[in-house]
Amino acid sequence: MQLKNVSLAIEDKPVLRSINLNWAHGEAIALLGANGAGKSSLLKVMSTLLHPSTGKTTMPEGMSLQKWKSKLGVVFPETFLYSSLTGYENLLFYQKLYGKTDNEQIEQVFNQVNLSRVQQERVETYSKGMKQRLAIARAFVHQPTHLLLDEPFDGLDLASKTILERLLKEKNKQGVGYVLVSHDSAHAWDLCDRAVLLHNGKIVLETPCTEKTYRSFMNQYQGWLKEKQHDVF
Amino acid sequence: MFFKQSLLILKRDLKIEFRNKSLLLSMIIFAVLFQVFLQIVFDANIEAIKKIAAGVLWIPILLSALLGFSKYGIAERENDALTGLLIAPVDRGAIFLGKLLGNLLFVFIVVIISVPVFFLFLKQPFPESIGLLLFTLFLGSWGFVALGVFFTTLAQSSSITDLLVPIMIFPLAVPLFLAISQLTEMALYPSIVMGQDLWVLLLVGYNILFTIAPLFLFDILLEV
Amino acid sequence: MIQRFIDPIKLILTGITAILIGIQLYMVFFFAPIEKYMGIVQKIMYFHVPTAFVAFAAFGVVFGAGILYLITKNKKWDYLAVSSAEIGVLFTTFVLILGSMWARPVWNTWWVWDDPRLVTSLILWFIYVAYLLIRTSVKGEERHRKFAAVFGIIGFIDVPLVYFSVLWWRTIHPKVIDENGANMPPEMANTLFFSMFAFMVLFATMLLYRYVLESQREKVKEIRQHSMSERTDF
Ligand SMILES: Nc1ncnc2c1ncn2[C@@H]1O[C@H](COP(=O)(O)OP(=O)(O)O)[C@@H](O)[C@H]1O
Ligand SMILES: [Mg+2]
Repeated sequence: MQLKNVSLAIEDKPVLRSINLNWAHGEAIALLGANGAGKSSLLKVMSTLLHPSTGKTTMPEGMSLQKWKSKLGVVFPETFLYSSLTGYENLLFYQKLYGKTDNEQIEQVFNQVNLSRVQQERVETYSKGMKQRLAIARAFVHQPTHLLLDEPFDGLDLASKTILERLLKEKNKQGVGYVLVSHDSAHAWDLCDRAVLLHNGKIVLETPCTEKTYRSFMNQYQGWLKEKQHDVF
Repeated sequence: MFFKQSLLILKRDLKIEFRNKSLLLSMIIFAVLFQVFLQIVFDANIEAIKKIAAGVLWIPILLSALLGFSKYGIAERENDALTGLLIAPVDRGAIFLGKLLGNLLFVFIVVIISVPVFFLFLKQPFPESIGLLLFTLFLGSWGFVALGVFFTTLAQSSSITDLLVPIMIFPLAVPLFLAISQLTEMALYPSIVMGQDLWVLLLVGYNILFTIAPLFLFDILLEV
Repeated sequence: MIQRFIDPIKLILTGITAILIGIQLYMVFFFAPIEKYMGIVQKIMYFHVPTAFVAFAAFGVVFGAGILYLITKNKKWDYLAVSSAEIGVLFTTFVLILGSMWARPVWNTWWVWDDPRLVTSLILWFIYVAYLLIRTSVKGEERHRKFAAVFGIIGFIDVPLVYFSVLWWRTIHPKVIDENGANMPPEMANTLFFSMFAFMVLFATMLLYRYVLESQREKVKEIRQHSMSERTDF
């Protein structure tokens, strides 16, 4: 997907400013930045939930909007789950919503997020971490080729974090690309081909994620954070 | 695809509602209770009832439907599940249709129980034009529910949703109310039929307008 | 840029309105003859009918501006729609008050359900009060703009349905009022037409003032938010 000169204003307040971003097929992008930098908003634009005020988003290879949506898996801060349905019913519903019925796939994602045991229980009985894992399973259940992940590690314990990391790496090998928002840049560095730093709604830095670039990226990141502090005080 | 998605949403909503049961039960109890209440305050008896029969029949149904609008599908708001629907490749019109059918099913169940109660308590001679009565009950509920579901979904982000919805839909529904009260009166009390076709036409037209228009408008309006 | 042109227009329009209303008042009280049966009370008509006319035109503007807003997403149309809706509600209020004042001596009651125009005005009043309520109570500016636009469009489409349903409702039962005013003496008719014209110009002036106020208010808000987001962004 390609973003060209995308700006977004919410309630007349500029949130994104002339974003240019090219998301190649299968590419893993880490989207980093301070709170309020506009990361979540950028993901919402990419998911077509929000329309850019100016600029243009282009789907890959002339995909239609519906086609793009069907290829997209999303983990947002809200889980989108129905608490009075069981875990299984939730996944079944979302899978059908994407026009698929594949019980094996459901079994598989339950296994992957380690929730097979409780799949017949209502979501309201789940703990926060279990809900988050189910939300991740929900994002995978229709076998998307593009993932938008907004702080997916939030609320996960160490073991689950490792599971998700492994899952992402495995998917990436199979050609699934993702945009990963995280405020733990060290953590994200392991999982990306390219890191993008967002500050005040602008992309201020883009580097490939290698060991060599990490230090200089972090230095600049700190620099941007400091500049912000100067602004405030 | 479109109808499959509507049915999927309908089935999900019904599963949630029947699992919790409370909404449908409350709607039924409210309708019957309110009807009894109306009959008491109007001191309704067979002679006096003629003037107010249509109102006593309809008001409990309409208010019960109104209570249902804001509570039906409340699960959608819990974890922002509506956004989950909007991100999926689902036609927004299908979302509207699914919700419309679900609300309608509930209102029909209310009708099936509260209308016999009306005849039972008021000892009406059974109406002659039962066909006209059923027709009016069907289309009248449909029109009101279509209007209500449409505006309730839109008003979800309002601070006073529960109040705003009736304030919006009652004035818009005046033609509908007039049509159903006139037709109900004609159905209950056989008389020289005047203007029946006109009212039927109005009722049908109104229903078409408020079923078709939301199907298209939802796409524009449900952007966040 | 536009503002510079609007100021002289505003002044000129205000002047014209004042003159027209002056002439209108003169015609109503000195030119038009006193009606035989109703007497001086009949003069309410020269205010009642044009007021209703303006109210209806105002809601027509809400309808048109709503459509244009949905198509172009240009907020200017929305400013026009709110401005017009407020004026419309104000005029509808006058229609109802004048209607009651008219009904009292003529039909010996403050309110008649038999006049579809009066009843429609009452329903219209409720519809557009709801319209204004949507604007203050629905969260999210773009959302309430779109929502209000749609409501304004549907509300206006609903108007003929309301009118005819009330008409049929009352004609199926015995009808009380005759159409009057069909054959007025020419002085009366001329006064009425002139009154309508004067009131339409009055409406245009009010709309212009209200519209400029609305866009300036939005601009102030924009500037304030902009400067805030420039300074404190954490
Ligand atoms: N619905 C909204 N209403 C008003 N402001 C919003 C809304 N959503 C986001 N914003 C503003 O947009 C900016 C970016 O928000 P967000 O994208 O959530 O940042 P991040 O995810 O990087 O923390 C913030 O300053 C926030 O205040
Ligand atoms: Mg965020």
